[in-house]
Amino acid sequence: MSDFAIQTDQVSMSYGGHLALDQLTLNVKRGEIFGFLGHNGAGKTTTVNILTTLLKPTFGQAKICGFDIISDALNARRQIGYAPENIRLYDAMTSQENLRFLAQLSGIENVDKTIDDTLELLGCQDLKVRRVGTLSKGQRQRIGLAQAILHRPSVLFLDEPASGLDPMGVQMLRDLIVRLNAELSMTIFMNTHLIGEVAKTCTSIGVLSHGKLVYTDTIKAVMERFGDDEALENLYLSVTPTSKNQEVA
Amino acid sequence: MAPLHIMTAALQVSLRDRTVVLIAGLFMALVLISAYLGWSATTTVHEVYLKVAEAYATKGEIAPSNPVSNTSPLELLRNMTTYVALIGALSGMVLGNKITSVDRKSGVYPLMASRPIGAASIAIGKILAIIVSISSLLGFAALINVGTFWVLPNISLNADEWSRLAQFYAASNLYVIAFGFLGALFAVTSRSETAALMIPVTIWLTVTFIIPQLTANVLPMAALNPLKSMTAAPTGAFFAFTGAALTPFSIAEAYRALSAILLGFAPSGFQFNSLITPMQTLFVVNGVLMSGVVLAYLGLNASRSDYND
Repeated sequence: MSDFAIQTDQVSMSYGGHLALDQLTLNVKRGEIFGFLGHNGAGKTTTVNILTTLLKPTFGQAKICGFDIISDALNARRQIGYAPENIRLYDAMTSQENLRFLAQLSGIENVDKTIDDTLELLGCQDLKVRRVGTLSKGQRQRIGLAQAILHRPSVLFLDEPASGLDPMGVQMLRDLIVRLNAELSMTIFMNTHLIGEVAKTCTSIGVLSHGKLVYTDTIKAVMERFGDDEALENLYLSVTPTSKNQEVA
Repeated sequence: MAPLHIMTAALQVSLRDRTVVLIAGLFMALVLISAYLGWSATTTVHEVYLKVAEAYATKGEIAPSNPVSNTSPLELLRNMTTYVALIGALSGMVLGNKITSVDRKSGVYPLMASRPIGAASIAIGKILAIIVSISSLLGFAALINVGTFWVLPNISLNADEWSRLAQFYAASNLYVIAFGFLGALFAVTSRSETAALMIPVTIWLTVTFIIPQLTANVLPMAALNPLKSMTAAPTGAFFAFTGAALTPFSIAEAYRALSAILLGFAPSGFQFNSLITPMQTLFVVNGVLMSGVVLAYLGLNASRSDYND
């Protein structure tokens, strides 16, 4: 069994003539909460789309728990849970119906019990029979998270999970991420541009700028080196060039 | 199992869509009205005949035969061919569109695509949903017609007529399903939701009204009339070429010809001017469109599956 939950080797992605991801080489160990930082358009979502097998890279290789995302995509998918930014489900169906459908596609056998257990874990059993179209943003995010962890994946991908949430929602999400990591031993890969959240939640970080990975280390090492949360922000700003042509210091 | 789960969810969501319910309801209402009109007209003719026969009997003369018994009872269904060709095809397109576009509109498609299933399984699930929903709609229409034949006076279908009725509904099913696949094909391939519905509607109008003009010089409005459209194709180099080239894909003509033959209202000596039979045309078009839907799903980029509008 591979020690790494995520391995990428020179993964590149170009749309037309635009290079969205430039030779990304990254290793994330099992059990980590990895914060993937970067400005808007840095290539974070493209990275998650590639790692969740939704998008084929134009160059390079990537593996999830040792399974190649192209040649062994179905096994790679069995290892992952995915909650996209602004989670959307079938509005006309209840949370339970949406979760049942996605659980069935994941090949879960005891579907109803799994849904109950997952909703209980997330503290949102009251949303079970409500139509998704009637849920608030925060409630949708919870059901979105529920669908991503139904099959207890080894690696959970969260794309801007705190986007649009109020401070209370952000706090609850943070606690949830830490619990999922601790109680279910999930490796969590979290795209975000909220530096404060990364400092409070993650165990390691990577910084992406204009498609290039410009920095990666453990949070512990970052804190030892730079001191506090504010220093993390300074680090982020120092390694993120304002223009693509600017060299990283 | 994944295709069955996808089919069930697609049907569940579609049945809660107002547009789908409205258009399916409209089709069913038309079938009921058609059945009522058929029952009403036949009953009236039969009652008038009984009175006339009684008058003949009081004069001691032999009454002519009952006109209700002189025509094929299946001819009563000829209006159904128009309903199927118009509202049936439209229902098929809307169902095909809704069943496949809902995942892209709702944003569920990337979640489905991140599950351990292939794109082909998703395509098969959607194709099954289209077939089941349209067959249910046509099955309901068939039941109404069977019920109507049961209650009509002085009418009973023999084994051959029951068989032809079943074949007519099989052909109608294939015809409407083809439009379901057409709706699905553009719902999967189009970047815009508007184009996803407008392109199949344009193709439907072309297939129903334009192509029959090119292959057999059938005037657009005559194409709606189950009797007037049953004319022989004109001779000449133009029609010889367009007939040979387009008739195998002229699904509306094939359906009308097949219905006329099965329901017994085709003019004597009528022949479908094509290298393949009308039923084969329906199968060919369905096969091509179904393959198109599978290929469309295989080529759908899950990370960019949202519509632009």
